[in-house]
Amino acid sequence: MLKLIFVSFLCGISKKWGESLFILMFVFILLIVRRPIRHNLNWFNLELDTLGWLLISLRVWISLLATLSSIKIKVRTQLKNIYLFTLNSLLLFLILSFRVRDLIFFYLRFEACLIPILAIILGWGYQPERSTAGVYILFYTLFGSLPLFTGIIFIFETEGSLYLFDIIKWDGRGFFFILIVAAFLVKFPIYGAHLWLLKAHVEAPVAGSMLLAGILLKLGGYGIIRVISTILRAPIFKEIIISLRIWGAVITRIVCMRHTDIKLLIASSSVVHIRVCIAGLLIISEWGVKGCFVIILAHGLASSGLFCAANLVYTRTHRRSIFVNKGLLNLIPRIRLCWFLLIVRNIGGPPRLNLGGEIILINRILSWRFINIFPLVFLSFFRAAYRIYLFSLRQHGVFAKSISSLQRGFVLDFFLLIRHIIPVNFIILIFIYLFCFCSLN
Amino acid sequence: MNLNKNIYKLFRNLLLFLRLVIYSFALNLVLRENIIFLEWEVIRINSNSVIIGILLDWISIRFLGSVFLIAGSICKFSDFYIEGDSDYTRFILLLISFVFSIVLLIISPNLVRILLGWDGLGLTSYVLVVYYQNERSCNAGILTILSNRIGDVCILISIGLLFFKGSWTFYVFRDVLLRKTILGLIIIAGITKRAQIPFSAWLPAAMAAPTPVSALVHSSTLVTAGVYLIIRFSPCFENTNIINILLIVSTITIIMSGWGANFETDIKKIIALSTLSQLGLIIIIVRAGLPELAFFHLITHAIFKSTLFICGGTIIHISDGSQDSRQISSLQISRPLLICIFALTNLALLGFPFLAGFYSKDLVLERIFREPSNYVLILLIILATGITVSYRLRRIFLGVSSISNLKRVRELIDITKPLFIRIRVLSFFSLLIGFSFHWVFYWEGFALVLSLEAKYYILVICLRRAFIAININLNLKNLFIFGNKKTWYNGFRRMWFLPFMSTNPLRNTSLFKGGEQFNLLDKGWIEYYGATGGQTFFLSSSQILQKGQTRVIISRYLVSFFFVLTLLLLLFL
Repeated sequence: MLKLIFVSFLCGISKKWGESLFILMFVFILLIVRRPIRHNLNWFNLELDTLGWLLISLRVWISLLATLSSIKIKVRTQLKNIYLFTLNSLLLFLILSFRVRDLIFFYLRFEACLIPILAIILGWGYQPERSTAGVYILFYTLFGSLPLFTGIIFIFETEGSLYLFDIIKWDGRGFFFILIVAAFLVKFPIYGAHLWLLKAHVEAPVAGSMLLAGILLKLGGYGIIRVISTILRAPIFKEIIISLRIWGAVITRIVCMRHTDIKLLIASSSVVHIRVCIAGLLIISEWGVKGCFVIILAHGLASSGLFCAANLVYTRTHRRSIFVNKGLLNLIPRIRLCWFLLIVRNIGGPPRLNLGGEIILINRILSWRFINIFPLVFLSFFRAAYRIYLFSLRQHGVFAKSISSLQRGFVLDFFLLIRHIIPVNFIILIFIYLFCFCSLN
Repeated sequence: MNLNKNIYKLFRNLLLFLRLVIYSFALNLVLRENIIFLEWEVIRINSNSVIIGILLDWISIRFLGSVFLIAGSICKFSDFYIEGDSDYTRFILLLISFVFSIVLLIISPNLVRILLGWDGLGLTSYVLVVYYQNERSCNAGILTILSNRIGDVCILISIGLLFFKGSWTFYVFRDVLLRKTILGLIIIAGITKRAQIPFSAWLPAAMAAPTPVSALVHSSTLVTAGVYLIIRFSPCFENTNIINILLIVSTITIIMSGWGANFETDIKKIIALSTLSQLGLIIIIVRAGLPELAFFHLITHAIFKSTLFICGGTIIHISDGSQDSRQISSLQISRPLLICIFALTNLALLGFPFLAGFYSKDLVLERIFREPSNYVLILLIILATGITVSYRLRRIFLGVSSISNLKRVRELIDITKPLFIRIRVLSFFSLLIGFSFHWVFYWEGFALVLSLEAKYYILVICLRRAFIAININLNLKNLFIFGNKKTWYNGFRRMWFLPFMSTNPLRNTSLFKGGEQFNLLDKGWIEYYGATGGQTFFLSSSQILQKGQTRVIISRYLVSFFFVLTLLLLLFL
């Protein structure tokens, strides 16, 4: 445990790209090989269980890939060391936020993650609109998380303890739930508070969007899983939130068909994906929580992979519109294969993790209210529809004549994409592990 | 290139070898009346168990054998068809993954495993349909996968509903009354995969794929997956009204597709439409409570349909890729061997006595006449059989008509010897499979008691339709007596405008609604009550405050107010 923190810290302060990658790899291997027993460390207020362990592994893996994918910044710009420092400090905050056992410390780390991602968007974004995006991300999330602080104070006053793993004993009133959960709902965007995410995704550089989609969104999910038991006191809020989630997802699905910006399309599709997942989580049951967690893991890899692949196209053609990037099948066929695999995984193709999680979530939502069958049919259908639309319009048709030249795929590109594709196929083992042997708390 | 050749050979030999093994295994199973059922419980949590299993019974094992036979022969054929293409290896790999998905589907005893194969079929078929890179195949691919996706969603939801029953194995549900939603969803899933009437636009559109793929799709894989699902769940449908949906849908589909095939000119689309009508017939048999017979017809149909596609593909390949059947004539002079196989398979399909189609079709019709059912059904079935005869004969008629549409300078090749060697197994089977299957697997004799009229009715109707077929070809213009002739003609040719209806309204509404929602909500209300609205509100209110603070009186008031407040606090606390 201490070793890991030390190594992460080392990673945070190191300014060399190669060494940093090496250290990350080392941390990842260290994480994977160790058995996730509950660790307890009074000194730093740290504790780790299976949930945190899996999420930290995902995090380290994705920030490794994010660092690799922004190799262009290393080559082209002056501030490469500061960039690396920002990425690594984000990683450090994230790792710490999954290890703390105290709600107030969790809150601190949760908020601290905002600073590096803001720096990434403002510092290395592409368009001048990134300042607006920065304001959006800052104010939306802060607006949500200030009530959490009040809620924490209330909890401390009534309970006398802020121990994160025993929240089941909290005896809060109904509005507690909203106070506590609002921050996570904004982070894990609920319909209506999702504008910051789309803006941030569109304006962020590739590493920023990968980290946002792969990690930062999941922080909200993790928070909700931790404080889920407070919902028992607030049945009406629960119903409102679930309905808002499902119908918001339906609306966003239709809107997705209209987007022509590749990054915006991927961003809003990932928003939708996560929404149903929260609906399954709030119907409290063991299957629901585990299914939601499975989706969180799988989606973290899948969406960051899609952003990475979108960036590959963007670096080649310098355009993000679907209508310009056409006919790529003939020119870069192997990247097309990676695209197809990623998209299939997002749809929930056969041997992938998404499918299992999705089946569980469908069952949970139907067990809550049978009438939800209509939005669910709609959601599952349109999920395939716009993904196929994204894939097919890109790969077929005539290549735009205005783009005079095109790089072929580098080894690094395939390296990146394949490292997004492979883990999900193995992660099915984690699924079995989760369901057979472990209880999440 | 050498390696690639070997890949084709490898898969071909592997599949044909597996076919032999499985057929002999099937004989063994039938002889001993055994069923092999393996189960492995992967996860068990809260009384729900996720089971991976293998089911080998008379349905799956014989289906498997036929799939291997067809796939092996098609491997041979696609070696000939795709030769010289730049994606030579990719094609065979996709084809094999396609076959693998159907195998996964066939041997699975529960719905989750079926979903794996089912989804795999949908995705690989999409990739195969968009194999040629042009806009037409791209559109056809999207239509195909989205139509199939409806079925996927139905199965997903029904899996979610079957969760409550505690098991997904369909053997369990023979005695359990399932709720109607599940049955309805399974029926819709079957309809989409089988391309019955509301969803039948995708099947002719999928003809954009290379011919070997079409042969696989139509004969033994994609469309039969839907029939397979219905056959597997047929015990659950007994004593429910919901199966009548199947009946209505199938009869309408038969008439639509059969009548449309009489006006179609694309050689592959004619075969596609005939698949539609045959599948409708199979479902009617299931509805009549004879799933075994339906399965028999399914297998014979699979084999001669793939032969037909191979012949059609050869004709297309030889005649410079033209699919217009009016271009292809006087084949009896230019390609006697090919037209011989083609005509024989056509005859087998329409049920010529003692060829493959005869055994299943005759049995089916006589059984249906014997079963108590209503007259409308019998009338529709007779009509359907007649229409089949008519368009099949029209096809042969077009092929052998002496009006030559050939170009002036043209190379004339018959089916070459290597190609003939490649497809001879399949063509042999397509003639004799009915005979052999009938005597091997259906040897328990049963007596059929029919009146004289019923016995001869089919024959008379078929002959009558044959005359009509020739009449249609000769007098196409005088066929429609009333109304606008062109509209009638287009309506029949374009499947009662189904492709138009299943794409345009959906596309327009979803795009229109999407834009509306985007403007109204994302750019409208949410922005107004969120970021932009908040900004304006705070800016304006702070402006008011700012203005207020500049006024002398207000600042005095404020100062005096705070002064008094502190004084009061100090006094009373």
